[in-house]
Amino acid sequence: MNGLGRIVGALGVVMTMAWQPASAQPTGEVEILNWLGGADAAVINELAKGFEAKYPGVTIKQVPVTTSGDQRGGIRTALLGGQKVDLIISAWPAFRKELADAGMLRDVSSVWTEKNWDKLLSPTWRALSTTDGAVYGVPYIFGYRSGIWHVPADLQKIGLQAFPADWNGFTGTFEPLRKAGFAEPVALPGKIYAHGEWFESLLLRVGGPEVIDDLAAHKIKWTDERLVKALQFYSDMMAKGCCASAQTILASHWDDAADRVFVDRTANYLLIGMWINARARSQYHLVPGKDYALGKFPAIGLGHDNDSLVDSKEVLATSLGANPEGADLFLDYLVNGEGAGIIAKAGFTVPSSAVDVSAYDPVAASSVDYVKEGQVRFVLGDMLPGQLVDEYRVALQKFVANPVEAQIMPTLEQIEAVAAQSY
Amino acid sequence: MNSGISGAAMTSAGAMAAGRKPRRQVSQPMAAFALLTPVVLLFGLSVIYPLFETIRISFWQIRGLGKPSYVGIDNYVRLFTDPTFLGTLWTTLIFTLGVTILSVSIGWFLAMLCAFAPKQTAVFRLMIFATFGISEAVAGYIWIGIFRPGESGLLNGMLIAVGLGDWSQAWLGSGTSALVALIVAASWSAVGLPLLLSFAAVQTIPRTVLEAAQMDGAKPLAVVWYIMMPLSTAGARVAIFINLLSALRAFDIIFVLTNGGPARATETVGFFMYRESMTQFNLGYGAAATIVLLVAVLIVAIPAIAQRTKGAK
Repeated sequence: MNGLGRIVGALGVVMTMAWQPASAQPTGEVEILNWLGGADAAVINELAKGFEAKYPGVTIKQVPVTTSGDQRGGIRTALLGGQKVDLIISAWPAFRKELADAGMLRDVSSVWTEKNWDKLLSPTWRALSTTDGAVYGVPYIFGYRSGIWHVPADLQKIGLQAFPADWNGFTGTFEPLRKAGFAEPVALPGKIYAHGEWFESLLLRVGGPEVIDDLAAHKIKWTDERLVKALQFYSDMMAKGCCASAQTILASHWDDAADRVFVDRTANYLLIGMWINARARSQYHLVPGKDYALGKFPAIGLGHDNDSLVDSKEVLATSLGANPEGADLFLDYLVNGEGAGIIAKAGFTVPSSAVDVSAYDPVAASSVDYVKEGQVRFVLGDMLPGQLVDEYRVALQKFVANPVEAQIMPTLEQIEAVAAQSY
Repeated sequence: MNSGISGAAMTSAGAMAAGRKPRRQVSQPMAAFALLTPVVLLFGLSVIYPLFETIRISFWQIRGLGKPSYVGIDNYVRLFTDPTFLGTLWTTLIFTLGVTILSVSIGWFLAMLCAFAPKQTAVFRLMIFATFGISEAVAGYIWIGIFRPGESGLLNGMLIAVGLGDWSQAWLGSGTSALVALIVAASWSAVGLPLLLSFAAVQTIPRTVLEAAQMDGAKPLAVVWYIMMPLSTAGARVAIFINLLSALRAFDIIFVLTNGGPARATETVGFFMYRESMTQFNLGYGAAATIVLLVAVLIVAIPAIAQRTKGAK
């Protein structure tokens, strides 16, 4: 081969080498079924923008689902109507299982290993993302749900410098708070679902993550003694004068209750998700960590005092879409620094450890610390089948209206009767 | 392009006059058929097809995205043995009658009052009728503000301001008060139509009849009771029919104001249908509830339509 031939040959090799990685890079459109609104939707828009800038060959097409109330109805309608998407945003493990059972999801376990997501997502998050041994996507936002919102300045009125750490200490504040002029130490919103938050965190403290798992899968009955115990704690809290009248509880939505804690300052404690953080900042104009804080759900000494309940939003890979490579690339983008950074910058807490925690405000940072202390489970309501979760909430409403010992077993039996037909 | 009978005839005459071969005339039934076809097609696609599909689905058990299974009339049997559904039937009956009676009686009464001074009450009538144009969801949010628990609720705030603080309560927190609150809120939205229709009916009463009554010494109340009310029943009857059907199918205001609670105390058949179909995605069971609601609507609508069209030519 002469000199020119060698040069041409070498150029050919170089060009081939240069060409190959480019051709391996996914291209085309990645369709994502998106039902989110407000700040959540804005984050997806930012993520799409960042992703497209990083991978110019791939575009994110958001397919909106518009529905009121439970978003799962709209998602099901879209999918049954033949909508072919690569990715679905979900917030409900029970719904993830429904999608998986219908053969609509794609197992990304091998992608998880290949892209080394274990480095950034702890085994806990992998476990929370697993359905029947398969992983179908990645969690990208989470919210601590065992945290009690309060105004430290109001607790200082009865001499409390820190949020009560244990149950007796917590319930022991009710009387002094009432004497200090607060109408209801605990603002308990029972209109739709939020009254279940107290039961679920009490159940976690009593029975640990196992009882949540077993109950969600109906491996144990709702009449199990650990559930009885949890309702006894609930009853104890109400007997000690935690709350307003049953009529006020059942008429209150979580936003009414939040107003009473943060605006009217007639109530002290509110157990609800992390979305209060955004509301407190943007609507009440309060400073996190100074004007309001998040306390860890009190310890009751049964061995599960550091465990937490969370909610989470995840992006699931489907078996329906035309661009699985592009979809996997987007999942990877969510887990890694750039995507996770965009989410954290928007004020959300992120499962990925690729985020610098100093970016969080003091309240969000404390929630991340609480979650790191122990085992984590999804809120029970999101893990139950639709029919059961409805009945469970209604039965608890009836219990809250009459929270006496004699009502505990009838309440649990009522739920168990529906659970027996729901799986 | 000319179409229809007269158009075709004119085209034909014009063509003969011009010495051209006349176009074929379209027969009357053919033209009617042609004109009706788009409407029938649209009606079939948007009403008849979904109706038959709903009936078909009601014989299947469909749980979420799972595989459907044929269950015959099981969904209907289950419905009428389901205490929750039977409860919603009672709630629907109370809600429907409550809203219809309250809205029509208030609307009719206001129409009588307005009839004494039609010009002076025009703005007042317009304001009340405007509530009819407000979506039920928006009305629901307005009433949430009114019924809010605590002093921040408008109703409680007003009661406290006038010294009736003992009466203030969490209106949406007990089954009975929530249902009453819901009836009041839905009636507020529905009062405009009876007012408008009854007022229009009163306007058709010949002035000579009213003048004759006054000359005979009838007092205003007697004029209302013996002349205006009996002679304006046609308007009120139409309003009863429309408001009855609207209340029977109500959903939005219930969804926003009470979400069917507390503990399902304000859940009507319409809301039950939504919860089963869209929240729990029991499409077959929800479809069966839909058919029951449809039958209820037809039981009300058919006699009313038959009665209204009896004298029609």
